[in-house]
Amino acid sequence: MPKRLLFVDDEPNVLDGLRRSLHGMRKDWEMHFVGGAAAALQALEQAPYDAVVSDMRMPVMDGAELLDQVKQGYPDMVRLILSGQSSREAVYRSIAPAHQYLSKPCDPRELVARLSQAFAMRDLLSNQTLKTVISRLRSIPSLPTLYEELTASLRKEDPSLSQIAKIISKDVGMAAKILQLANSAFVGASGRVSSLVQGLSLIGTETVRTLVLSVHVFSQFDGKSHLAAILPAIWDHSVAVSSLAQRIAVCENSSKAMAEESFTAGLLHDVGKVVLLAEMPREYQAIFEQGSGSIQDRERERLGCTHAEIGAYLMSIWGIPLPLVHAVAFHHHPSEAAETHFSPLTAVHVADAIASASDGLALNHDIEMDMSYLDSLGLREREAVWRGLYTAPAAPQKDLGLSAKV
Amino acid sequence: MTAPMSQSAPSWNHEFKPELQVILDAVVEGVCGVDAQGKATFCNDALLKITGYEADEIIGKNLHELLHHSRPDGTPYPAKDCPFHKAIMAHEEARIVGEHLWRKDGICFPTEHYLRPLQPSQGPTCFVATFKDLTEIHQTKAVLRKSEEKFRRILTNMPEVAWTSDRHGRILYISPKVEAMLGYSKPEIFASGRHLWLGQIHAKDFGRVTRAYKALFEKKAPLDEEYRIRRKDGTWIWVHDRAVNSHEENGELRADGFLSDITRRKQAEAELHSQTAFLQAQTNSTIDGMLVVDRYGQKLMANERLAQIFNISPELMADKDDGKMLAYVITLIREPETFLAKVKYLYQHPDETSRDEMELRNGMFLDRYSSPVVDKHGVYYGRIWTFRDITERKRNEDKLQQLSLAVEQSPVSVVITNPQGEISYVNRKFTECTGYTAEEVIGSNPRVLQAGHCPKELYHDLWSTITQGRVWHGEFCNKRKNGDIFWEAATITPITNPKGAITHFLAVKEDITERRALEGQLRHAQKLEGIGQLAAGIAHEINTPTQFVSDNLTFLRDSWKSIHELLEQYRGAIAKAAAVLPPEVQAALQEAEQHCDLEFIVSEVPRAIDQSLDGAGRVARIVRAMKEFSHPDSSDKTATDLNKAIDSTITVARNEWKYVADLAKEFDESLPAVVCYPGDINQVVLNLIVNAAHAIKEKVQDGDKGRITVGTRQRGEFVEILVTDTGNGIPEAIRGRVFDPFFTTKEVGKGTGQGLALAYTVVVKKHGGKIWFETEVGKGTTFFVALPLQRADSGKEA
Repeated sequence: MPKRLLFVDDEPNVLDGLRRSLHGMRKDWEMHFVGGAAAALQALEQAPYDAVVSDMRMPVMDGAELLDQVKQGYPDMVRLILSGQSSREAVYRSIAPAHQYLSKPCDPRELVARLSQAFAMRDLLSNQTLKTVISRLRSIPSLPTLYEELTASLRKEDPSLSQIAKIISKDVGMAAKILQLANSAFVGASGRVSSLVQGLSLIGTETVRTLVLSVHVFSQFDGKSHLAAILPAIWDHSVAVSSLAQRIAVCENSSKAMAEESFTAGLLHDVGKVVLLAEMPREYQAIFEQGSGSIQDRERERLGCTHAEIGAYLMSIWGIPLPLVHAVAFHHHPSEAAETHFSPLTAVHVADAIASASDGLALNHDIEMDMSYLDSLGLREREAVWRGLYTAPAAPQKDLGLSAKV
Repeated sequence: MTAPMSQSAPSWNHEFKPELQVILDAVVEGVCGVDAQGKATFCNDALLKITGYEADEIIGKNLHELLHHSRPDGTPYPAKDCPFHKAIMAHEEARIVGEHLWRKDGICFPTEHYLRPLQPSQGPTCFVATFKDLTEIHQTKAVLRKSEEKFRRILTNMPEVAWTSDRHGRILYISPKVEAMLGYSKPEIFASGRHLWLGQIHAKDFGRVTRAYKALFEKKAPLDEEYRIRRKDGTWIWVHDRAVNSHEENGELRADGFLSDITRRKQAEAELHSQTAFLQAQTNSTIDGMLVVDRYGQKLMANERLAQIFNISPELMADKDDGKMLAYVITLIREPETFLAKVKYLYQHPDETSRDEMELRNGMFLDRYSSPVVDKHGVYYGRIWTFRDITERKRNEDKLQQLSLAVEQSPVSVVITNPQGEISYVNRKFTECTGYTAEEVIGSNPRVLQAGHCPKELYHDLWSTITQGRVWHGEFCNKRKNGDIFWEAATITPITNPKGAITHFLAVKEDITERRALEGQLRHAQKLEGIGQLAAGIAHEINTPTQFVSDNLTFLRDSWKSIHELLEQYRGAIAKAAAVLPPEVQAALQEAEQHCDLEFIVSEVPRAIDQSLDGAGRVARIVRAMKEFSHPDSSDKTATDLNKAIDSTITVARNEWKYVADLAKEFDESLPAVVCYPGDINQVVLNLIVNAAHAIKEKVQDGDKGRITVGTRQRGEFVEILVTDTGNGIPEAIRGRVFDPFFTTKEVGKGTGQGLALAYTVVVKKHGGKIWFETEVGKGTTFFVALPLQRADSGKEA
């Protein structure tokens, strides 16, 4: 079934140009073009759409307002801004309602790639409720200790980028958000950003400060949550996997970029779990505390999908580069990605399998090493070397501050 | 005296009871017994002593022959002439005075002797004679006489006149000197009664003198008066008249007195008096407090002013003990220990003179001077202290000193000239600022500083303003001694005397070079910001059409591809169907193909579309570069991809270099992000590229091109940007000044002279980096900009 897309721009030539240049997508996409927000809302009333792509500056109602209304009324849609204006203020305003912000002139291929990626991941997700939850999600909550550490750093006179990067590199939610922002039209369209340090550099410490302290792009778990006791363990696991994945990538002589990509992918691989813990804590707690079989089996049984697909969908609509989305989506079953070379997915899968094996928390213990996948890449004999790279955390860091506060 | 007695006693032919002899010997006068012939029958010790004989030499001897043989002049004294002998002979009592006897040693001496016959005679002894040695009495009389003579001589010769007078003032005696003193002779005075004495007394003194004279007689009060008296020649003299007492003589009261001529003394006194009065007046009218203290700490003198200065009570002033006053004064002094130490020291070192300043607690300043009081013979009497109130002077001095210090140390240049404009004073800031010493410029005209950049009208306006007595404000472009240009904001004020004539000009000048440079840079930054904002707006305006132009071109390209494929299929089909197509249709098709030059279209349309897409892409890139170059969004330090930033800058500056140079990029692709102010760094790179282009333009002929190479590299903890040109290089003479503000080699209007100064500010001051160049005349120049990597971070992490 073709995807239904709604394009909104007050400049008819732009709409015509898009219509023409995207003409080649006509088999997969059913595209509608309207000249303003009012017409857009009218069109949405009449029929469901999968995605909306709106100009920012428009008379009467601008793109940010339109997408905000779309988010309220049609929360499961993918929402993009395509604007010739790329001032920070416009970007800040669109952060809440838009999943991605693309700047004109935008190569039609880039637009197609981003939307296709989002649709592909959306198709993997059968649970409509979850689609809505994920599309509506503004941020992934952070661990309160890390959030406080970060805001304290940012409140200093001249915060250091590396210090901020160090904190963000330990937090799933912050990392994901930074990548979303870095892949928006913040710094022009110079390729996609997979590295947290690069992303932070591009955004700049000052903007990070504004975004965190004023725009509140990050959020945090409620310290009183009954989950408080298990959250640090999940964070520890993510950090352990990210660090091991990076080491594995380095060990495989990957480029610096891929090593960093592996690190980021490792950090984000269980982002779906964090989303579930944040958005439906009771249900999810029931899932991982009751029943038999692996976590993902139980998830699929109860939700119709796993945390991998949930995370991947969120990452895809946030415009996170494809290799990362793939690593998140397929980290349990890498063969399904149909890749033929060592990739961040490989590093994350292996690192997760190794780290999970020694993790005491059942929630983290959800994966077996896919040896046939390694066979297909011709990397089976590397497994022993990779295992050697793993150093178990000296002591479970359950006292990251949260448990003490409970 | 017992010895002769013991000797004589046994040989004595008379026998006395011993008690009688003892009594005789105790008698002062010589006593002896005399027989009827005038021979001695006994004698006592006193006689032996008077005559010098032993008893046995007298007893039995004729007394006349032994003791009275000659007259005092040595002529024999016959016994018949001797009254003593005659009385013996006549057996009479006799008292004989005025005779001289002779001692055994040949000296004669006056005696008074007495002869008394015994009734009845005692054995042979018929008489007892007593002898009294009158030598001493005679001598006393002689002395008295001599003394009387001497006294008379004294009276005659002494300058005083001695007098004796009675209660009426009648002169009874007057010493001869009176003539010398008053001009009158003694007889004249005696003759005149009281006229020539009391009568000549000055009317003003008369009453006083007569009262005292009367008191001398009636109350026995001593007379001690000084008065004027007229001499015989009519001149007046001053006399001092003294008489201790009056005494009675012959039943009348008399007084003895002395009269001295004290005219000279009086004159001296008068002189002294006036001198003293003068001194007194001076002492009391002086502005100095004065105190003289003797060596025993007793006040000899203290003037009124002293009391005023220290507010000393009259009681304390009157007290002779200086210690009390000192104790009081000490309480008023701000640094009493210092003062006391000084006082103590000076009393211990009487010869020293000292002067210093002291402050009272009430804020008064005193100039204290102390010196010993010594007479011409070097005798030390004490020490004089003077205290002068110098509070006002001190305040004025302080004020003046403050003012002069303020001027001298002022943070602005101060220049004072005479009305001709010749410099008479410059302060320290002036010398610091201009590099000239005060000696070098004093006497010369301030125009030595002129850099020649300011219009003549400026100076004309300046002079016409200040010579009219008005204040002039303005800014100069001046030159330091070393040739550096600097800017000054000056206020020039004419200084006039009370008559209104201009005596000096005062110029107060502030070095505003840095301010102007900053202003220039700020203007530049504002301009840039404006451009940035404009660029952002324009970007939006351009980006939107670029979007649909690109979209349409993409569509056209894709469509043309489809059309071309379709066309080829048609043509293939036509070729296959050629046999069945009517010839006229074939001819028409061929003609139509030729007419539209289908071959050309087929070959050119895709190229046209591709080139258009390329152009649209270039527009998009330029817009992005412009936006990135001006960086309107970022006023903070940001981790920046320098290669990308420099690339944008090269794009923006393209127009500056493309006609004179080819530009090569030598970027280190692995360059890490640098935390910096991207807008500023872009500006620096732009300036370096523009300068490189200008340097090449100076060298190359029209049509020729030089080469600019822009590179990046990492060197340790620094990232370097290199901009190399193939221009003429920088002449050695100006190499040291290229980063100075306002230094420019370009023609007026070509450059602000701030490009490299701004680069310096940005790189060194804002980023803690370095900027330098290597140059070779004729070959070209390379500018290096080194920016510290992770500066902020390393600072934090440490």
